Amino acid sequence: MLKKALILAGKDIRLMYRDRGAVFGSYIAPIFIIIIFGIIYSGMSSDDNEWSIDLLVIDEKKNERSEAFIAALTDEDVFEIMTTDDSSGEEIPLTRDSAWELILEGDAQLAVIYEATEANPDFPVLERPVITLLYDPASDMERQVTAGLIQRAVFMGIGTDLPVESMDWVLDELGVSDTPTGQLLTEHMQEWMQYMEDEDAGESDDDTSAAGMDMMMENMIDLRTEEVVNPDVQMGNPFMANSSAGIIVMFLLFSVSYAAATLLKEKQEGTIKRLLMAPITVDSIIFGKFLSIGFNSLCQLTVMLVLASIVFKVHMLGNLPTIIIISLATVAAVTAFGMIIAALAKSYDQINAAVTVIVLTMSAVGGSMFPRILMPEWMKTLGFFTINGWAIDGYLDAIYRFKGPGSVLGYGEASNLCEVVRNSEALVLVLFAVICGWIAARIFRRRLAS
Amino acid sequence: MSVPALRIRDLTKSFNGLTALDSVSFEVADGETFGLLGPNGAGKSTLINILSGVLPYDSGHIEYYGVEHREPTVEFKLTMGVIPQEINLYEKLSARENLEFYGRLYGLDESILKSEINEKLEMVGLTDRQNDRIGTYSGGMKRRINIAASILHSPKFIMMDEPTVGIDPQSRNLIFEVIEKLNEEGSTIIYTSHYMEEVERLCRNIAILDHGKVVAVGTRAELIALTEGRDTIEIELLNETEEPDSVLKTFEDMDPSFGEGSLQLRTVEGSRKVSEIVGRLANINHPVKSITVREPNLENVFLHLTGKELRD
Repeated sequence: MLKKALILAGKDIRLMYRDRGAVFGSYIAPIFIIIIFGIIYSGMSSDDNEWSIDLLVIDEKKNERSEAFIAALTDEDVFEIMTTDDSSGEEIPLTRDSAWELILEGDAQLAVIYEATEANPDFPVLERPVITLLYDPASDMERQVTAGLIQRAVFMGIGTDLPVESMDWVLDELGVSDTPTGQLLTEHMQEWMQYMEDEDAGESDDDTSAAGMDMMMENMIDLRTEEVVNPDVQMGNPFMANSSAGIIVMFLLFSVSYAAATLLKEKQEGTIKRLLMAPITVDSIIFGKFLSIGFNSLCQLTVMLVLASIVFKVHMLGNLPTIIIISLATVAAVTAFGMIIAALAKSYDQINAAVTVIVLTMSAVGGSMFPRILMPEWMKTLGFFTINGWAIDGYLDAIYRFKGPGSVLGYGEASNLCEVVRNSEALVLVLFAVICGWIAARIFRRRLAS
Repeated sequence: MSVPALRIRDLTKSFNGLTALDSVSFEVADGETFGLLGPNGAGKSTLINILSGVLPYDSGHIEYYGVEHREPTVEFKLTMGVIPQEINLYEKLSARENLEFYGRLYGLDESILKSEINEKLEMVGLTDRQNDRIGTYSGGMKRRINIAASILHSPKFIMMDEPTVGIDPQSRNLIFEVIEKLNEEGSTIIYTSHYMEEVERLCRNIAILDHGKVVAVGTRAELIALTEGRDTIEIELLNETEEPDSVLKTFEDMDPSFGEGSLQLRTVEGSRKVSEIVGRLANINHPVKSITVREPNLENVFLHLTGKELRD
């Protein structure tokens, strides 16, 4: 029995290794995916901070402390600090209103405002800085990272000075600053703050001091967060909306790629041959296939959007005209992309391998699996070459920024061509569809001719 | 003299350096059923694919009804019905749904489409199964629907690429009847096969194709004349010979060969020479178990022209 089983196993192994698609799917695809995920995860945990957050900074206070705080923020490698708005061609200092507008338009995600609060006249040195973090609800991950780093910047910039200055002020008021007791208290306070600083820099392993520091930080500053939203929009759950948009596009890519395999089925079963003999052109055949796959995708997309609205309380359908435009453009791009895979593939194994590698890679790089903020800059740039990246941005524009259909089609306000393109998600997706469709048609024609 | 339905001159086609068709030339008269006979790999399907516009050709000249054909146009395809070797039907659709789909591709109006479908279903004997999915059909039934789908638009020129491959005798006979009926109604038909009986039954003129070349064209009688009227005599010996060379030498005037366990001879007036042959074998101590004399057919023609059997 064993001998026969070995013969059978030998045959199966030989067949598998002669199928390039199966070998690719078994070995190359996982290696490729592991590399992609590895890059993303290493980018997230790297001390080199290969990823960055664009941060608008408004200093309304304009005193030593606020400047020290902004300097500490600037020292954080992860932040790309912007204090001026150059969209009009001139560098105009940012204000609360202009920052709000930039975030609302999707041109920025976060802004930190060092508020110009009035100091307590009785205890001026004990002024508690008020820092407001304006954020785009579509960028929840960035908000969390930034909030943590603001606390660190407060501590690094003004944290050690504030208690010491406060102690000095109290001692002065009591008239004991020059006494040995006063000097001793000041020294102890400085030593203690140094200890805290070391702890924050990771040079101490005392957990209690860390907890004490957190508590102190919470009391030392008044950190407020404020969602930048259109008042007419019902937001729903921002995290779920972000995730839903990404997942919907990823699943759509998967299903469309497999649906496009019907083209391969037509080739393999010979029905395509009869179609070629019929009085229709090759372009009609390809376009017909595009329409049928596109229709199915649109139905699928609609079901997923409605489900996301109902189950996850995401207001996916709140801005219906723009959602429709983005959905149609996404379906067109995804369908045309699936057609390329179908035109290239010679077997179902090849389709499986190609879909696994390409769709997972596009989804990872395009932001369906991880927020793009966590990726290195080069990978973010790569995200602009994915359907996921543009589709997710388009949905977020529709859901959070309540942009009109014209805006995602390139009719929005913009200062330069790059910005026009960046804000024209639907237009880019349609362009993507046209290019993919043209490539698919060319491959398909060439394959048929041979 | 009327214009031929199809005229081919020096048609050549290569795939990756391999010549599939080599200077193929022949003519098909309007209203006839023309046979293309050849073994598998002879180039029959390539020729049909070129004639139906699916494949481009490298060089040569094709004329349909006196008009040169280079690129297949929609108008050209409307006049043509092609029955490919593969069954090109959608398994999950019923026979009627398949026919409706193909009929609409050919632009048939809904009322005409309905009557054409009914007529063609009747013609191929599958009216009672019209609403069943193709996936539930036998191979023969699928082939019959495959034919119906290709002739819904009543084409005047029909090409059939081995439409009887792998089917039961009942379906084969029914397909023959359909072909004869279509021909009677005026359609010009090109019929390819590697079964010489089919070609002999259906076709008036026949082209024999081998390795992409037309080795002979003509009526059945003209082709058989190429064998100089020699009959084939198949002799089964009582005992297996240990001296085949001596046997072959004994009959060197009758083009002898051993094949499939029997001795084969080719000679004119074979039936008159049976006793002489038996005598010669007796002289070399090879008693005969059975002897069959066959008049020349296209199989013999093919053997005569190419040195091999049609099914090699």
